Amino acid sequence: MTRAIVYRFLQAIPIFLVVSVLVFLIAHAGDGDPVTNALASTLPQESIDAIRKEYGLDQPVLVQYALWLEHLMAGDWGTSLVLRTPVFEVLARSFGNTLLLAAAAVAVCLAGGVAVGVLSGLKRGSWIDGAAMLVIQVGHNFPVFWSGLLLIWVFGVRLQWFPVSGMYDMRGDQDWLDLLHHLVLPAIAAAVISMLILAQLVRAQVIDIMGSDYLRTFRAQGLPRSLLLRRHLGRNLLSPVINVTGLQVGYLLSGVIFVENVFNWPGIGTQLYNAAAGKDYPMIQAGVMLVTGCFIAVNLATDVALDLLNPRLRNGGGPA
Amino acid sequence: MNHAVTTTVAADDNDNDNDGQHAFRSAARGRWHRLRANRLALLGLVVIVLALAVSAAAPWLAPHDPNVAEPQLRLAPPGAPGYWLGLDAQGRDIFSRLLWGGRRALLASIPPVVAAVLLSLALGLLAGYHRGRWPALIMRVIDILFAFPMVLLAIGLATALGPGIWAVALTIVFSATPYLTRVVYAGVRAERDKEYVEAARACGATTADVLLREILPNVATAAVVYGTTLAGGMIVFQAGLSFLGLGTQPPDADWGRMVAEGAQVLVLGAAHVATAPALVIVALALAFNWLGNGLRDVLDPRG
Amino acid sequence: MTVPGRVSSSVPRSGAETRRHAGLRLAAALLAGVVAWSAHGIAQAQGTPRTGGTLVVGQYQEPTVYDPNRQYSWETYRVDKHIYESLVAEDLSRPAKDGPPPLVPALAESWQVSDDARTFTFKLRQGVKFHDGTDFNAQAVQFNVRRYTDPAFEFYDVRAAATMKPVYGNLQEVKVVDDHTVQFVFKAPFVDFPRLLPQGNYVSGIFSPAALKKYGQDGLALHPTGTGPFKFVERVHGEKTVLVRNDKYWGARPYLDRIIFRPIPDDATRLAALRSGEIDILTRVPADAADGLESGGYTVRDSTTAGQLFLGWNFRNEFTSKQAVRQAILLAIDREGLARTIFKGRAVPSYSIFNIGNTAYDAAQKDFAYDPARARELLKKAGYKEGDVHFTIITDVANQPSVEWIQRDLGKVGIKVNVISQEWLTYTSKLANLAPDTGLFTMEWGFVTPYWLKLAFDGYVITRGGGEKVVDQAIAPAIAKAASQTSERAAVAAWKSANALAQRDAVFLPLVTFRNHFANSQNVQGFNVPAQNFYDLSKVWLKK
Repeated sequence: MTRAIVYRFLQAIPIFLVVSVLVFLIAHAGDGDPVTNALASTLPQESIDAIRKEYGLDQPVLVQYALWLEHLMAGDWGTSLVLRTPVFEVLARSFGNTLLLAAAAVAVCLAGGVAVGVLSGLKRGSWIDGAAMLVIQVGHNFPVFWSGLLLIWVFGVRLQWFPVSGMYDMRGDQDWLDLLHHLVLPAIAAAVISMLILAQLVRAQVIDIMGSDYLRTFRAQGLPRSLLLRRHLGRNLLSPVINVTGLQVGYLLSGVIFVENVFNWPGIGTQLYNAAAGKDYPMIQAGVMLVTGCFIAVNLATDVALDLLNPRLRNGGGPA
Repeated sequence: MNHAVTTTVAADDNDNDNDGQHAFRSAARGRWHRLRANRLALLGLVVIVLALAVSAAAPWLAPHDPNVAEPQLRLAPPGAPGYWLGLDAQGRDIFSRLLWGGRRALLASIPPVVAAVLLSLALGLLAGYHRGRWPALIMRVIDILFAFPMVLLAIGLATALGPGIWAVALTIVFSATPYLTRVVYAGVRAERDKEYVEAARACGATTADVLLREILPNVATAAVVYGTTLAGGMIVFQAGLSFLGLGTQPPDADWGRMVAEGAQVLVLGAAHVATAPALVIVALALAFNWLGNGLRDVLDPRG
Repeated sequence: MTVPGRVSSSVPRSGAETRRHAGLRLAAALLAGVVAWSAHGIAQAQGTPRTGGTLVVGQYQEPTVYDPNRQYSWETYRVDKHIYESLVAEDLSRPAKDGPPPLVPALAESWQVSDDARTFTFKLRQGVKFHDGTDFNAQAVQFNVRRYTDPAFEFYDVRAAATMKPVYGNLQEVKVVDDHTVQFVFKAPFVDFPRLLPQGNYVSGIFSPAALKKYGQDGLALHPTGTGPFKFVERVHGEKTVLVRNDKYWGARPYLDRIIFRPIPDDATRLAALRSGEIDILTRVPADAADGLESGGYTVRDSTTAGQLFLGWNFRNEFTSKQAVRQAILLAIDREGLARTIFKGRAVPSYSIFNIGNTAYDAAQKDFAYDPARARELLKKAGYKEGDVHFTIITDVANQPSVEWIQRDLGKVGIKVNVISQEWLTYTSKLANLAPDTGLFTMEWGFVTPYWLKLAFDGYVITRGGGEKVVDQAIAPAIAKAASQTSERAAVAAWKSANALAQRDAVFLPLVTFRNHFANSQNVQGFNVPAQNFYDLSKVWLKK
């Protein structure tokens, strides 16, 4: 069991390296470089060359990559070419903000997905079932940049129930309550995309359980439906929910850039977008590695959790 | 990572069930569901065919040139004479831009998904059937692509190739293939140890025969079903990339771009500019979703 | 309270009289009360500033770096002009309609220009300290200047030197005459030097030498230390920059406790933030939103600032390298219509690279009036048929509508234009290397000083555009002549002649000047937008 986990972990390392090379190559492809972008004014060629030399951009790409890797091993993530600040500081903060948003979105997604799934499953076949699933389906296919804007317009500008941008009220205390207030709209916007699959899953499970023999036996004996549901649903749902949530986190992170854009959430999505546009190599490199690392970690955790829950594997069987 | 696919396939029971254990009432409900599900799929199919037809006929159907503007009438709401859906911030006819934008949206999402399905079938069959190092290597590469965040890939490709339809199409291929390959791979792995495969080999069939004639039909349905549903998601994704400025360039019409431009005037009260393309995106994505679900019910009733 | 003009009497009067007197007294008292109350109200609205509060400014771009010798955007200067001061300042409290803001003393109490305009002697203000407590003096000024002019200096910086070159390229020496007197000597006359000191680009904001020594060249931007009315607290990229009042400021004490700058690049979100009260001042008001804001009770400031939206040519493109084509293009664009329609009148058409607000601006000096028929003629005479001329215009997303307007206008005279519109950062990378099929690129810039013509010519015609050999060879000498005048009056006249030559050869494509850049909520008082690209927040106060 532990061997399987360690094996999976080791498998992740070459993936990591290959991704780093890919990113380096893609980032350096195409024209433009951070020097002329950063200065964005009309400087004579000697000045530009001098600055390029100072940043080490005049060396061949392979050498630059080797240097970067060397620094990374030593724990130095590099300095942003555009912002002139250590990359780690900037990324750690923005990545943290993104994770916060993603976590909130996952929470909303879980709550909403499970709730709708249970409701639909219990009321299967009725108009409630159809309507609820339809709403979730529409939400799933709704472009998040549009739903975000609608949320801002309705709840932020017209009703003024929630703030429209950023993480905190600039003038306020910036405590966690303020943060929650700012999280609501973006989390909902991000969560709606992923609720569908979860809701479908939960609904199917509810239907299965409700139709199973033992449940009908218990019901015939007069036990309340809700009690039975709670007991059996939880156990049976855990595995698929973890699985789907694991997948959705990756999907969520990818879609979060849209939400960050619309809600002006200072996360890693916009950071990386600007870095890519400005050809800020160290930032792009470190940022992508961070996000990819997170992906890999989440996938790993999901796999491990599923393995733990899978009795067959626990007894030493091979992967399914 | 296999769990991801098999469990989802198994548990994603959308309205179809084969529970003979249920009482008569439930069975009737079940049949009703199947009918309704297929009705949705039919509706989806109709919408898609309509969209394809209308987009293809855009040059003849569009009442105005999508790029020509009447600045005096800009932001006119729907119902303006001659402009069914109103005009956008530049003064261009939204209806015509929808029609023409459909071409780009469909071109940018459907062919890449088709390509991804074909690619994933090839890769999945090869990797799933053979043993040894090559399949493992292929799946590692797939893992790598899987791990790469799609939007970052899009940004990278747009920076390298320049924004436009190629960057978007390639991104979609790279995003869809890993997912579909895993589906096929899982399917092939499940099938390859079955008796009919052994029987075929015992009869002297070559690997190619086995793969193409025996296994392929069984896994193709899964790939097609997932591919169809994926196409819906890709329409939304492609619109998102255009929204970020990575796709179609102005002044060409494109649904994602139209939503982006409409978003700017939403706060001013001109909601119609972004609503029309957004609704169309949702409608088409839903259509693909329903069609995919319906296909799954029809082709693979075990669910 | 005494009733004016009435003396209270202790002699009892008749009942009626008493009542009448009482009535009059009451009326007078009421009247006085009303007068006093409204006077207080007027005072409240006009002039009794309240100290305290936090102002939040919504920016349209993320600022670059808070290092005066390395920064390069207006949004950056709008922040750090409150941290760093120059020797000379502009009086930004004058309203835009008064024209270019006059120069006033700042860190220099007075200055003298030699007759040949090559030597500038500044008498520095005494008793001024940097935010870190160190003294401001002539040595500090010299330290600053050597950082970007003297390669032999220990603290010389390549990047700073490259950025400051347009101003200090011709510097011969900077002398410390005594602790409070510093002298600049240039190799050639440089009448505009004082005016250039407090501009948003190439700004000579004075930083604390101690800070540079302590934090290093890169670190200065992370710990900006100047002499200004506000001190730097923190900056979080993508989120905010926080400034706090400098209670030890040498000048008038600012009212605000804190200022927070928030970059919100998305126009719609930024607008929503103003309407929901999350920001107090909005930068870059979309033309469509102006009417709605005004009717919503917000103040939309009218000012033509000191910049404009213009396009630069790629002189290496096979079509735009021809004078006839350039002139035809200028003739074919309806700039008046653009300002009226796309900008709903919130912009004015521009026919000269000298923007309104420039000291050498002359409304009568226009390049070409709208005449599409003549444009067609010119093209035909040059041998081009309908559709022969085709090129790409590159722009950033914000100016896409204007470029699409141009695309349509040029289409009407048979010129086919392809538009590439990108996010600002991606766009600037395209500027570095213009593709051969690019004919025009957009730019927003401008200065109050006519020296701007030289900057624009050197930067956009020669360097970016590659037009040295292609353009009228008389322009460069004319510009050099104007730059080397020794009196302001002679300079302005010379700049105008140089501009006339530039206009005839169509080396620039001026488009429009925006009139409404900023909007603020009613809570903000004392906010003025001068005929410049930045503002002074030290005189702003909040009603509540």
